[in-house]
Amino acid sequence: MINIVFFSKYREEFGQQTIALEARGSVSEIIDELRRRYPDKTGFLSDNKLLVAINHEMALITDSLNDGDELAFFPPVTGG
Amino acid sequence: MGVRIQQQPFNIGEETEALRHRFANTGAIVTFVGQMREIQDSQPLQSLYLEHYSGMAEKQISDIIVAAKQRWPVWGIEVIHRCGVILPKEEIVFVGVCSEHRIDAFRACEFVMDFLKTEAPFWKREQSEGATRWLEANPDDEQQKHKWQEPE
Repeated sequence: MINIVFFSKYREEFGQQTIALEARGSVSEIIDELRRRYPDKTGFLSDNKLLVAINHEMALITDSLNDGDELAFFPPVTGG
Repeated sequence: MGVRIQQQPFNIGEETEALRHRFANTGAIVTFVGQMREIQDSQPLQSLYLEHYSGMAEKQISDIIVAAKQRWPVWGIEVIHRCGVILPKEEIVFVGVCSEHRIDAFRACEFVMDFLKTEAPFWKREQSEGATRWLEANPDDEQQKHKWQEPE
């Protein structure tokens, strides 16, 4: 099981902050699975500014996920 | 010293005073405070909501502090970043650096802010009368970060 978290405007578009997904593979494959399961709530996954993190570390969409990992999707940060 | 992320406001004077006395042989204390503006694009702002990725935000800022301490001989670096609802003129972020000499403290403080602006997972949502919008990242912030790649 992978825990997926969304932040900022992506969280608002998806409608909830977190979901658990029984899936494995690369971030790219998880993105495809999310689009398949939630076609009306995942337009942000096509944002060319989409950022991803795995277990609190910045990641690439080619990176692989293991069972128990946390995958986060967010736009460029605006803190400070 | 380290990172604090909190909803409640902090007292700039108290945090600075604490830095002054924390390490022996501190000759310089440099602090930066970022606060919420009152006006954006000629529109008065009502509030700011700061969302953050708990866990990753602390880790990213801690890594930035470690990088700064590896680069300059500073005694300590403290970062406080608020989350939740912020009101106009309220403080958002505090960076305090103490060292023996001022040059190292100035450089380290600027370095920490430049990297925090582009790597710490916080997102700001502005509320003005009748409008709510998530702020977009400023490309100038990425430019500021790149200057640290050049040898001093």
